[in-house]
Amino acid sequence: MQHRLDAPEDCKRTDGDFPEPERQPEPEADKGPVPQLPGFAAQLIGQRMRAMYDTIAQEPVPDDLLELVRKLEAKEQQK
Amino acid sequence: MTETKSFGDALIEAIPNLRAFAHSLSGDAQLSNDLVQETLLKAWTHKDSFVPDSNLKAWLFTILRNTYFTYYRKSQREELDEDHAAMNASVPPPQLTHLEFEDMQKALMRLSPDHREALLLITAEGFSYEDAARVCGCAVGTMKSRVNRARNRLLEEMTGQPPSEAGPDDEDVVKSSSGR
Repeated sequence: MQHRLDAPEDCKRTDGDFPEPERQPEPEADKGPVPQLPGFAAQLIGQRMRAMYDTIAQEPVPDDLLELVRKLEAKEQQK
Repeated sequence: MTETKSFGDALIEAIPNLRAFAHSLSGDAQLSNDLVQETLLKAWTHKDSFVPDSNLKAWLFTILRNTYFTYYRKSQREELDEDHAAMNASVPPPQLTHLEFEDMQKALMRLSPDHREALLLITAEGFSYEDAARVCGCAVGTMKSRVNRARNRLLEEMTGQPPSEAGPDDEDVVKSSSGR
């Protein structure tokens, strides 16, 4: 997965996985009754997960990702 | 107000959440930036197929998870070391101790990708079950079942014990506690 600024057409080959998600057959493991967790346990897991998730979301966005979008915009405006 | 916001602005706004999802899903900081880059490129290339005023974040998450699973299936075929992802942990966070952060990430990586994804979309990102099901291309019931199974597994990991069977009336409790 390299920069593809010079060849955005290249992305078209990925049409196969975009944007409609494929319907996957439901695995056996997902069937049958599932024991439900008591509310407090679900909350504890939720809190920990969100703390981890938010930590990553609050990291500064790498410059190359910002530049990528700005370059795509600039390229379009040149047309 | 929203009319002055360009598609590019909207993409940039979504990057922090895309990174958090990509990192938590793949367990790999470097890979997650590549995934986000790929997602932004695809979104730009296909921006004409985005329905204006629909849920841009859900659309972007769909692209990202499809990109990841394409990569994941490929790497499974190549028999890459599955544990490499969990070991490539990122910087210690302020809210959780380093150990808690790593433990959470490792526990997540031991879930199946389907279950990990379900839990992240619902619990961390706060998508509705309907939106999350659309992102993953599965039924709403499947999404609910995956989230419950993933929670049970995580609790097992964290306590070292399987969760006790809850009564049938607990369903509402879990539902109401899953909202943000």
